[in-house]
Amino acid sequence: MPTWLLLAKGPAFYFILVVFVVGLLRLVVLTVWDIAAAIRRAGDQRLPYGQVVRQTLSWIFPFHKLHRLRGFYSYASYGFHIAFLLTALFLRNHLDILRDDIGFSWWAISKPILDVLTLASIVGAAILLFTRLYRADSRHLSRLSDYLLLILLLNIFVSGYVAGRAWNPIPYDGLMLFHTLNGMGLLLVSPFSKVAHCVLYPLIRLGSEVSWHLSPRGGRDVIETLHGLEGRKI
Amino acid sequence: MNNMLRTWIKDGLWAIVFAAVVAAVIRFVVGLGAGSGLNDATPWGMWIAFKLGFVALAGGGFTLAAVVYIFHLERFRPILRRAILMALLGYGSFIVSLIFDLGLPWHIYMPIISWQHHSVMFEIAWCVMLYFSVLVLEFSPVILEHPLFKHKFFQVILHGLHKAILPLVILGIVLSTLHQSSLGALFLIMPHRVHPLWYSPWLPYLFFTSAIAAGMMALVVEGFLVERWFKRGMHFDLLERLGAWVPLPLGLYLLLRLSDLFLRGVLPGALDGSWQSILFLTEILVCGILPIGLLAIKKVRESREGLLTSAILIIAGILSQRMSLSMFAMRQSTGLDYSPSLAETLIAFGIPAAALLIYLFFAENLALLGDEIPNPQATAKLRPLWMFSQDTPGRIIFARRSGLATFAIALILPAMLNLPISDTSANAVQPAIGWETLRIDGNQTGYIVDFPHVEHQERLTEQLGSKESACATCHHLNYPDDEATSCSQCHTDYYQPISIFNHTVHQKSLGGNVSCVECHETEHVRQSAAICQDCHETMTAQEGESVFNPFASSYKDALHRRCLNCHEQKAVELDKPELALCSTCHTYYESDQLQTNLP
Amino acid sequence: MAVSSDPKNSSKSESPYFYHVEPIGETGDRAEKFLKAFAAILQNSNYRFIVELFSITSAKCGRCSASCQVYQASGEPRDIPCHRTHLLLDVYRQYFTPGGQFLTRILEGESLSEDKIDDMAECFYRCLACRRCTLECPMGLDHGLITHLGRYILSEAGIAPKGLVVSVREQLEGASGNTSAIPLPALLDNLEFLQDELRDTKGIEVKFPVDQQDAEYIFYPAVSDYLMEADTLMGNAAVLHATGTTWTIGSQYFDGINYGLFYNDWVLERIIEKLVGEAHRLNARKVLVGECGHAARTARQFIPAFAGDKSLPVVSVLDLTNKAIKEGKLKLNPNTITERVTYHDPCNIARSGWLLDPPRQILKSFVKDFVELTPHGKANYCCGGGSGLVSLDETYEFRMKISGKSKAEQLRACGAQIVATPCANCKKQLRELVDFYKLPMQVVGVHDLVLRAMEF
Repeated sequence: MPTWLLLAKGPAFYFILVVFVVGLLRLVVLTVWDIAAAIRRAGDQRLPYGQVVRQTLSWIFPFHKLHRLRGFYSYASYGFHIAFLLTALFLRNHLDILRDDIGFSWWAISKPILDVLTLASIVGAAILLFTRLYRADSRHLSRLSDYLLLILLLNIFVSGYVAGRAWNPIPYDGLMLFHTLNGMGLLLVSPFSKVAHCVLYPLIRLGSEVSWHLSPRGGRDVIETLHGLEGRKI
Repeated sequence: MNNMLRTWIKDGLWAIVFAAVVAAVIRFVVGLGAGSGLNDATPWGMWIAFKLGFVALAGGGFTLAAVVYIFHLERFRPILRRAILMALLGYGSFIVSLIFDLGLPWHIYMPIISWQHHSVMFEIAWCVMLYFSVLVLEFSPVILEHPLFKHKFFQVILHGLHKAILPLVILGIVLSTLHQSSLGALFLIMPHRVHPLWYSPWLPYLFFTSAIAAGMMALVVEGFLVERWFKRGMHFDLLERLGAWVPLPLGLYLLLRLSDLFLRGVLPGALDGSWQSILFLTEILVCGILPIGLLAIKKVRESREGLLTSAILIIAGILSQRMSLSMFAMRQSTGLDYSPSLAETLIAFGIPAAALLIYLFFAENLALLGDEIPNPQATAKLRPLWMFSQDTPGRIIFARRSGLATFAIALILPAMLNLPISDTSANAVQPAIGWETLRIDGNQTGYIVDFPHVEHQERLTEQLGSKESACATCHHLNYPDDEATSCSQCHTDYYQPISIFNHTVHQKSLGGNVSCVECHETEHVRQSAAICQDCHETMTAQEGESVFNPFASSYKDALHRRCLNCHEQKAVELDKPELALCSTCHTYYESDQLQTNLP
Repeated sequence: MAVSSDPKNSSKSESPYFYHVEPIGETGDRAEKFLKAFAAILQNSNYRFIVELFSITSAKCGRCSASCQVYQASGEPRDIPCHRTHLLLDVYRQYFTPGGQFLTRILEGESLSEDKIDDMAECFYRCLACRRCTLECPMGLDHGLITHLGRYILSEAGIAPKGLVVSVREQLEGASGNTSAIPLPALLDNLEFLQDELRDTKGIEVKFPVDQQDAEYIFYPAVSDYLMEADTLMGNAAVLHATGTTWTIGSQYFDGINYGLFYNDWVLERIIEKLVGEAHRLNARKVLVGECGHAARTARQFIPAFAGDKSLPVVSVLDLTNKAIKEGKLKLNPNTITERVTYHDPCNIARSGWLLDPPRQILKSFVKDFVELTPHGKANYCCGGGSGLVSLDETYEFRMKISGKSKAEQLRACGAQIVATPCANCKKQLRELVDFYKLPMQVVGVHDLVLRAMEF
């Protein structure tokens, strides 16, 4: 077995898979816990759940609003997310490894379609990177980790796409090792970076709504903590 | 650090020292063999490892002395005395622990009167004695400055010492350089006991360069500790300069070590997945290259935490190298396990504990630390604040424990699943290492056969007339587009024959599912397959076979057959019967043959 | 409207920011005060988890930059909503998370410098808290919430706009008990004047009931309306009169304004308590909020939060009027208003989608030529004086040239002659904009128009 396949079936991959799955799960549990505690502390516990769910869903399928601002970038970003998820989760090769690793998998999408989607995600990620680099406001906002994550993703896509081609000039196993290592890197950093939005996304709007529900006496307690019982003047 | 904590720490140190004294009594009463875990097969253990550590950390003494007296960087003078004291205590610890380590400790003076010039130990003994004396002389002015010694007699001595300091310093630098190097040279006399990733013929130079780095960083850590302990400012600017310069010796050390491993072809062994390789990679990457990178960033170097982290990493890396050499990664060549006894452990830790107490005594009573400088820590305004939240205790505990549990599960689960680390069977063969001399240890027992590869290649080239046929003598089959496929690449099982035919590869390269008919003319069963030679012209039948047999014999058989066929023949031809002896190749058991394997 | 934020009296040099600062609490090391305040707020409030959640998920995609009218006008990177949020999240990450703290010490050293605090003090007050960016954040980050929290921390650390603090001090501790420092006799005079005015112009006898027990509604307009928006108040009173309901104005507390929303949760809660207390004193059943954006929002959002069992239903006067029109209780002459009218949505009541239709239905029921602004409704532009900035006279230049620029262009483009808006702050800012940009239009309240069209 080539090294990269050994790596994908070996203990290191299990380690990373557990960190990825349990780490993200932990974030969800903690956030739900926090939100529940915040609701309990809130003076007003009624929440517009319907509105929150509608808003949250409307950004999972944001087709009617992507064009509103920075349309090109927004479509690239959305397309990138869709293409990335489909290629990552429904590629036959990935699923085969997954079945070996954890014992089950699901149906796959046919290779030619995924080839197109991979190209789409490469283009999408490239546009995102390009925008970060060449738009003044995006560049100002970008942190090092934003660039590194995009480069990591591009590494994964490009190596995965090129490796299987007939015209691939680089040794197959070497490129796949690169692909595997980058993929494992992505899984490993997920619970510790903004990638965690893949599971936390549904909770953000709910959280924003909840945190407007202030807790009674909160302000007074802050004053007491800072200035003691006698408080401060206004 | 409050007084309470200080007292507790001091008490703890004293407790360790007392325990070590008891252990020492036991060791001298019952003797070396009964008192320690050492035995005749593994005479080197924890004490040696610790000793090497002491000496490495003492490297700051000669480095700083050179910096101040030779390079005239006077601004480092405020921390020179500490460096000298550190060296003094380091070497003192070395000597004290040597007394425990010697089988006949009362013979410790013997190197002085009985000179064995050819022994590395002789050089070590003399260097230690002389350098320790030099250190005592270098440090004694600090003691004599104490009011207790205000008598004229002592003042005369002090005056004399001040006059003699420069020759003393130069002598000290020379001696310690010699000594650091000769400690490394100790390991050159037993390359087979040392793991290949740590062995290097350049060990003397590695020891010297790394001792400079470790000594400098030990001063940095000491600075931080002194600041915490005595609540006084440290010379952060000086320590920062040490941090700025340490990449030089450390980089040189890494460069020497890696390039030697690379040139001798051992470096790929660092990726074999064994725990030694992981330790090695950690030592090089995390404790070597990472701190160099950190210290190269000015911001990091100038932040207290950045400097301290780098210093600790570097020290950990170098101590790990010393300890690996002498303890962890020593090959268990004898088959006897070594684990240190309680008494041994207590003594090993008791000596540095005593050294720390002595340091504290000197620092409290002598003008060691120099003039008081303002403590920047006192005006630092911000303390960690991250514990603030209204979370319930349950949530805080859950957050922390679940974080730890994630890593614990991630670490334990793969281990419990018993996953394959490689696809080969339990009898996996470890490939031979090296080029000029192949270090063969197929079944990973530590019983090594050193095969003079290039020497055979040259001899065979001479005999057979061409290099190609010389190589082909052993490399009888090669992978596609390969010139000299290693034995272990086909003979993958140590004990059993194994098929080298890879169905998948053939199927894929011949065009996938339509390719069956290329080999299977009738049914799709093994029996109907074509013979290898139909396509691979080089795969001819061997002696006693009608067609090429795709089953590669076991690694053990393959190597024995390949070597013995020739050796037995040559033994008769050249009338050298010893050529056919086991011990010709399996040299290890023959202690007198060890000599021939010296590099 | 603010009591003592007269720009002529205070020299510009006393504050490092574009607004005047009223020092709160004892002076000391600002970074330490900031962190202590931050810690205390995280410890005692509901904000910690959201800061944590935002700091994990913030993607820094920059999509918000295109939706922020301040950034679009100023072009300064510090005005990008995500950057402003990052300022606070960064402090959180560096000081309140173990990993962030370690990395900071290794890589950056102490990061909360004086400059950074100045930066935050400037940035959080350059934000209009209009929450328009929240609509466009794909991730769902509420930058308005972070502005709210940031200003809260700054105020506890001793940095708060003088205009707001002085007004609130008068409201909570002053003799008059309202932000505009109107003494009760003056109020009563004023009410009498309004009654007379209504009788003279409309020929109806409308009473402004004060301290009437057991009324259906206790009425809280923005207190500045008593001084500056007589027409709006008369409109409100006329509608209430026409519906035949009982209502009252509390003599001990009659101010709907709650600047706490703009800078401090403690103040926010105390004002709500005062407001609810007066309602209970008079045993009113519902709280009726006048034409004021933030007053409506704070009452609706925070009365249930802070009052607990004593909570009362909150009704906006817009809802009330709309209902009255639907029930046919109001006679509105559709021929009175012949000018082209447009409607400006105050952020505080429109962004969440709360009061979008009622004001439009009111206006459309009697205005012939009604045009919408583009964009309007949930996605409208802020007037440019949101988050209390309009009460800080010293921010005039910023409000005109930067924050209100998009609004002025939008108004000019729609071609209306009358801009109706149910918000005292919006009205003030829009009037200033109309003057500054010389727009050919008049700014009025919704009930001003209702009053003009009403027939008895």
